[in-house]
Amino acid sequence: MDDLPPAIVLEILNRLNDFVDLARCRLASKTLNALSYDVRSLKILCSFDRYLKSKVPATKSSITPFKTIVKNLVLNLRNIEFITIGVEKPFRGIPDDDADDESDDLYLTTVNFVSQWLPAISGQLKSLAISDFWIQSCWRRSEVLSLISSYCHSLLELEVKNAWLSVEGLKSMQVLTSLTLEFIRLDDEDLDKVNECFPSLQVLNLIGVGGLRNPRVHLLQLKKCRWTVSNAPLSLTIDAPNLVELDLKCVKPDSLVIEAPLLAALNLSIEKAANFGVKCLPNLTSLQIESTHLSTILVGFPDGKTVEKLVVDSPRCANSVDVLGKVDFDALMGTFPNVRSLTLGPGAWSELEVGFSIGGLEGGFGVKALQQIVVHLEVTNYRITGSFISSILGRCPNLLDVVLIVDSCVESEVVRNLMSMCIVECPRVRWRLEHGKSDQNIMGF
Amino acid sequence: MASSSSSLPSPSSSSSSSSSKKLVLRSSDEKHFEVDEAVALQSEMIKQMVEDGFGGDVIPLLNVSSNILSKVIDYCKKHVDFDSKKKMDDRRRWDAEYIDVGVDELYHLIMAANYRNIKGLLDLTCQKVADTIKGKKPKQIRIIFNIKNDVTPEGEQKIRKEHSWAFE
Repeated sequence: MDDLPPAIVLEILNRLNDFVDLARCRLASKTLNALSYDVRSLKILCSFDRYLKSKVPATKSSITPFKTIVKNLVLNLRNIEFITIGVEKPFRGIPDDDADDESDDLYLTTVNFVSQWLPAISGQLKSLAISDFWIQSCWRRSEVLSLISSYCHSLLELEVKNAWLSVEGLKSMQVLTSLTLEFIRLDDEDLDKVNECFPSLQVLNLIGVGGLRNPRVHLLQLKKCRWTVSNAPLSLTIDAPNLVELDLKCVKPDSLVIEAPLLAALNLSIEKAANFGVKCLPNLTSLQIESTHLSTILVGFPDGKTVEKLVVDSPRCANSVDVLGKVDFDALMGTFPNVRSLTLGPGAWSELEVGFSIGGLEGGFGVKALQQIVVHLEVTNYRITGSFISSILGRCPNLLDVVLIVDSCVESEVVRNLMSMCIVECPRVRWRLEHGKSDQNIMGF
Repeated sequence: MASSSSSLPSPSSSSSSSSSKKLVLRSSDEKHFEVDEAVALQSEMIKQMVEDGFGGDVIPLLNVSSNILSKVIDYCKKHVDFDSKKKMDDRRRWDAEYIDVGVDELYHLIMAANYRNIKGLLDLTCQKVADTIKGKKPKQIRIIFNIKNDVTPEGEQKIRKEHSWAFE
C-alpha cells in the first residue's frame, strides 16, 4: 500500500469520514498528514463518552470543549464539501439533573458558534448537516437558517436535527435540492417561508417538525417527500406537480389534501381525515395504506385503477368488533381492480375475515389481475381462515402465488391443518409459509 | 476461449450469450482472457480504447497480473448482471464477500481498478481500506499501509498537541 497514488489515499481518507480517525492518520505519516487537510468529506460527532467526561469534575478539565475541536479542525480544511457536525446518537441515560442543563458546549445550532467557521468554508460547501443536542437547544431559538442562507450559495443538501429554528432573515437558496428537518420546532406555521426560500427542492424530509398550524407544501420541483407529522396541525396540504414518491404519516387532521398528478408511490399512514381530499392520481402504481378507519379512507380514495402493488394494514384498536364500516374484499378489489400483488397486514386481514364470516364472498366479480398475495395471519379458527382463502382463490383465476405469514405463537398443529386444507383445495397455487410476529410493522415506517 | 497459455478458466467460457461481441484482454504475465464486451466496458479505460478503435485486437493490460485480472473480471461480470436486475441487497452481500481479502490483494485490486478506471470497484476497495483503518492506532495504520514512521519527534509532538482531544 506504500505506493498508492495520492488521489487514492485522499479518496480513502474521504471515506474514513470520522474526525478521530483522521487525527490518528495525521500521526501515521507525513503523506497522510499532508493529504488529510484536503478531505472533501468529514463527520465530527461528539460521543456520549466525551459528553459524560466533560460533565464529571474529575475529568472535566482534561477534555477539550467540543466547539473548540470543531473550529480548529474545520478552519484548517481546504477543500471540504460535505460536513456533518453533531452529537452522536443516541444520547441515552442522561442523568435527570442534566435536564435543566444551562451549559452550551453542545448547543451547536447557535449562530454565535456556526458563524465562527461556516463563512470560511461556505464557498465550496455542498452538503451541511448539524445534529444538535436537544437538552441544550430546545429552549433556545436559533437563527442559523438565516446565517446558512446568507453564506452557502452552492449548498445542495441541508439537514438539521433537534433544534428550534426561526425563519427570520431566511434568504432564498436557489440551488438547494434536499432539505431534511428532524425533531425541529420550526417557526413557520404554514411553511410559507420554506416554500418561498427553497424553490429548487427535489427532496424534502420533515420528521417530527413541530410549530406547524396549516402547513402546505407547495414546491414545483419536488420529487420525493417524507413527512411524519403530529396531530397538532389542523390541515395538511401537499401541492407538488412533479412529486413521484410520498411517504406521509399523520394522525387525524381535519383536512388532508394531496395534489400530485405524477405521484407513483404513496405510503400513507393515517387514522382518518374529516376532509380526505386526495385528488386524482393517474400515475399511482404502488400504494401502502395503514389506517384504523380503512373503509372510510378507501371510500374517499380516488380512482385506483392504476395501482399494481397494494399493501394494506389496520393497527388494531382494543377488540374493536365494530362491523359497521368494516372493509370487505370486494370493496377493496373494486377500488383497486388491477392490483397484481396484494399484501395484507394482520389487522387488515382480520377485518376482511370478519366481513367474510358474516357475509361471505357473494355475488362479486372475477379479479383477473391479482397474481400474488401475501397475508399476515392470526389464526383464530383455521376453518374460517381456510375457507376465506379458498373463496378468494375462487375469485382470482390468475392468483398463483400465496405467502402466508403466521404469528409464531400460533400452534403448529393449527398451522398444519390450515396448510393441508389450502393445498388440497387449491393445488394450482404455489404456497409458502413463513413465521413472523403479528406486531411487526409491514409499512416500513 | 482463453488461449492455451492460460491456466485460468475464461469467465466467458460458461456464458450462454455466445453471440454477443467478445474482447480479448492480456494480463502482464501474457495470459489471455476473452470476455463479453459489456463486461469489459465496465472499465472506462477499455471503453475509451474501443471508442478510439483499438478494441479489435488483444487489449494489453501491462500492470495487471492474471490472478488479479481474473478477480477483476469476476467483479465486472457480476455487476453487469446486477445492473440489469437492480437488487441492491444481493449486490451488497456479494460485494462484501468479494472484498473480504487480505491487504496485499486489496492493494492490487485498487491499482487495477484505478488503472482500468472501474469506478464501482474503486469505490468498493477504497471503502474497504477506510473500514480497515477505522478505530486503529497510528502504529496499526502504518502497518496497514506498509509505511514507515517518517514523522519527526517534534512533528509528532506538535500534531499530538493540536489533536490532544483525539487521544483524551
